[in-house]
Amino acid sequence: MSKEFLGEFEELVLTMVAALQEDAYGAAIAEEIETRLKRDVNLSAVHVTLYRLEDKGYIKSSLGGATNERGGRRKRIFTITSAGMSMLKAMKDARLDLWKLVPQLKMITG
Amino acid sequence: MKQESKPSPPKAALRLLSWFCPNELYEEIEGDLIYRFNNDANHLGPQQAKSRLIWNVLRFFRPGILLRNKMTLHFYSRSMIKNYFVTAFRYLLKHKSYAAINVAGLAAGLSVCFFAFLYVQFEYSYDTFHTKADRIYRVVTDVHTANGITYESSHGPLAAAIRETCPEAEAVTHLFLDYLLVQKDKAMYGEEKVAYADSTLFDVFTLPLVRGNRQKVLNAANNLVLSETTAKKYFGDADPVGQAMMINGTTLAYVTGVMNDIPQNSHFRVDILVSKATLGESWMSNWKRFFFYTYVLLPEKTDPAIVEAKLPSIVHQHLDQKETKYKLSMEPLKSIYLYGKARGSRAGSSVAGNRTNLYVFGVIALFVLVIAGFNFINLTTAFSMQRAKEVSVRKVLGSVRTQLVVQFLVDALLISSIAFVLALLISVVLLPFFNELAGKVITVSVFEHIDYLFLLLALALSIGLLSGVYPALFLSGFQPLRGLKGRFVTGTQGSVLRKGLVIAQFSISILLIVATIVVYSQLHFMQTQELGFKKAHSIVVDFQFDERIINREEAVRQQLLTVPQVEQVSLSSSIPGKANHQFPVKIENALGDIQEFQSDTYYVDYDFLSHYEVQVAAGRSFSRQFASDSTEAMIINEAAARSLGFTDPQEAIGKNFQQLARRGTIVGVIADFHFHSVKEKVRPLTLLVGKSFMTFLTIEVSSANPAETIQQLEAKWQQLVPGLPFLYFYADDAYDAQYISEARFGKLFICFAVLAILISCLGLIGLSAFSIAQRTKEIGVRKVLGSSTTRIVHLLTKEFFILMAIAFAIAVPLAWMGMNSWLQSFAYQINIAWWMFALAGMIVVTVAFATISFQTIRAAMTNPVKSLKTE
Repeated sequence: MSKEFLGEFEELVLTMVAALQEDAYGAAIAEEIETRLKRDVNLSAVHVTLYRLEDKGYIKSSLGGATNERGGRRKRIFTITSAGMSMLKAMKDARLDLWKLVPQLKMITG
Repeated sequence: MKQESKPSPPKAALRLLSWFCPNELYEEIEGDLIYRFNNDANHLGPQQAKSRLIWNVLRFFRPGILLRNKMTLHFYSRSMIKNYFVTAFRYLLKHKSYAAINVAGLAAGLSVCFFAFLYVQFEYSYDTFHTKADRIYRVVTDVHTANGITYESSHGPLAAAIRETCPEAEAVTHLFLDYLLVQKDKAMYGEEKVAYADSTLFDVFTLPLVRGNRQKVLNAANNLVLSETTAKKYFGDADPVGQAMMINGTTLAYVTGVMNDIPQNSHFRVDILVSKATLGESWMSNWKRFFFYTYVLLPEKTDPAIVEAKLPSIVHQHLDQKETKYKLSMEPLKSIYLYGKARGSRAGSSVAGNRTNLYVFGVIALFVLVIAGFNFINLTTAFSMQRAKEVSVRKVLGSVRTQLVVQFLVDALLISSIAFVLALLISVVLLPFFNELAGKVITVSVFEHIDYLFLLLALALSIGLLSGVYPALFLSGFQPLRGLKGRFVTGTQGSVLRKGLVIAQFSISILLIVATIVVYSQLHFMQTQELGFKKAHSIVVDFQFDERIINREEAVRQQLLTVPQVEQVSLSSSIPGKANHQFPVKIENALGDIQEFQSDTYYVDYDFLSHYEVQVAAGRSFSRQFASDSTEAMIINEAAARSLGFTDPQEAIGKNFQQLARRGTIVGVIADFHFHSVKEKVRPLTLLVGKSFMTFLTIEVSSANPAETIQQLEAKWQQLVPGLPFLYFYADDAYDAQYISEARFGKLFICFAVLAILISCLGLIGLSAFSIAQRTKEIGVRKVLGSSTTRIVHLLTKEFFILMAIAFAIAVPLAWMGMNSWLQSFAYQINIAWWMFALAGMIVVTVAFATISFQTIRAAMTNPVKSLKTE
């Protein structure tokens, strides 16, 4: 487990899956990243990343409801697995540990 | 909410996605795309939403998506592949006649195509075997005189002159093509392919020596280099180098080298090279006459125009240009054979190809292939209708459309592969015939040309695919219910296509038949044309300028006349149909000026004109009564008189002339006779009595037993000129030999026309069988209701006759235009007559009717009880 790493975009998508919960599917994730991070995301990139994460066992998927806006096509809802959750946690902890090593500079105002 | 104006995503983009996207992912991705599209449409407008969607779809075309496809597509499964072939074989076995017709037609078309490939490739390969072929040019002379242009080789001293004035030339060589009498002990041959050359020949051309040093083999006089085949002919397995041979019956020459045989695809073919020094120095300074072909080798990347620009100065320096203009030009070696003009006179070894024939050959081969391909398509579509039930059952049992398409394609490919194999067999069998038809050995084995075989296989398979595609797509789209319900009604679409193809096939057939008729009519016309002389089956001996005969001309004549059955004997420098000399001549013309022109010239004895029964138009013929005839008399033909401006041949009598060293007056004008082929107009001709250049002895024999007379003649010959072989040919054969290429052309057309008709009829058999099978019940009903047999035959054949009539209407103008332009190359041509088209039409209709009548009559005679029972 500890040998596995996630790329930056993978981590981002994984986090979004965890955050959006029941509403985590391709288009929604892409939209969230776009609105929250003001970052241009390609739909196909999100899909490919989701499938890759599923291959790695961090998320699982099931087909969900169809809506009119989707032309009656069903969504694939992704949910994070416990492996994914612990991976995410481990990464967050590692980040924090590293962050602590950075000398805390006072914010200079004015 | 305006629901009705809601834009929809472009279908094509989504279809593209469905094509490469794995099925299990497709729905959600499509959903996401539509969701995005709707969002975009609301915010940015439908136009931009559409382009964004297309872009997004394209972005999905990436390995992360593509590689998720599982590679087991249904028609790749192994058991299915086996099944396709098993079904295809079963189908062919069940419909043997259908398979046989299809395979035979396609195989014939393919083998014709294969031969066409070989032939065209061979004709284009001329002279490419020389390693420096790209840099070699032939220098030739166009001689412009008042009478027009004659095309000549080049002067003897030209090579040396070019060497001097054009230092940029890497090498210059020349070649004098001739024929020669060669003796080795008892073996004696008139060698037709002899050339005089020096060692520079090897600098320019790639002619590898097996024996001897190329710098030395042609240095001294009377040196010979033999081709390997010739060396074997004279010396067997013994070493020829250093051996002596007798040339021209008098001179001893020694073999100094052996060269590889010059390949067949060379514009000059030489068996024996004789050192140029044998000829003597005077030949190398003679600016009066054309003997040599001169070749220049230029260094890499040198513009031939540079050398060509210097040629006029050479002409000015050495030649008088007042009356006659000499224009020198350079032809690239590789284009000589197909694009160069026939040049020179006696040199029979320099060959020229016929581009028109090449194109015609290619186009016809294509025609035959097209006919075969159309057959294939026709029969496949027609017969596939019968498979409507099969298709429906397959569909009901769960067959996917792709599987059906593949099945039909496999059927078609199987047939075309079998046809390919059969075409190979046909090609192997017909190869000797093909070589004979081409008049040269183009190839000895079909399998030497693996690349062409692959091309042919590709051609066969693509015809298979092409003809398989239509029925495959058409049939696989059947509604299973309609197919199962019973008789599937033939779609009009398919039958329109079939009719169009049948019309095309028969148009081509009629075209080829008309062409055959025209070619043969022209050939017959030329052979029966009034020639102006008596073309008889006389014996002609070429005595190779033997001085024993020339000097004792009269005695030899008298001696030969003593042989029983010998009627007439005459000597001349040439006979009709053979090449003759051309010399410049000066004659006083109608205006009283001295006019100089290049004229064809015959040296004859006193009896030649009466022997060949050439009519005298004015003045008199040569006669022994006038002693001056052998020194200062000339006879010209009417064409020459006309070119001098005399309207009445009588006016030319008594005019002064000068030719070579002879001066005198014109004593007679003879009627034009065709001393060359009827393909061209009769050219101006001068005749002189004289011994120089005489080489033909024409002996007319009136014998019930020619073999015996020839034996006696031969015995007499050996007394007169011991050692000189009695090699003879027949005068009429020699004249008709000029039409060999036309005769070959005619044969070619017959072969192709027969093939085209055969293949078309094969298709017709299949089609009529099919249409009759479709109408079995109808025929039965008609008979029950009282229709007569003839009426039913009429009913069944009517359609084909209509098609034939349309084909005829299309073919006639095309044939007329094509053959008219072919005839333009002949000076004397036939008119294309209406009966030629009528005959062609009759042939096609008769053959077609005979083909289908058997089936139609049988169908019409069938007891209606039987045909009505069939279901």
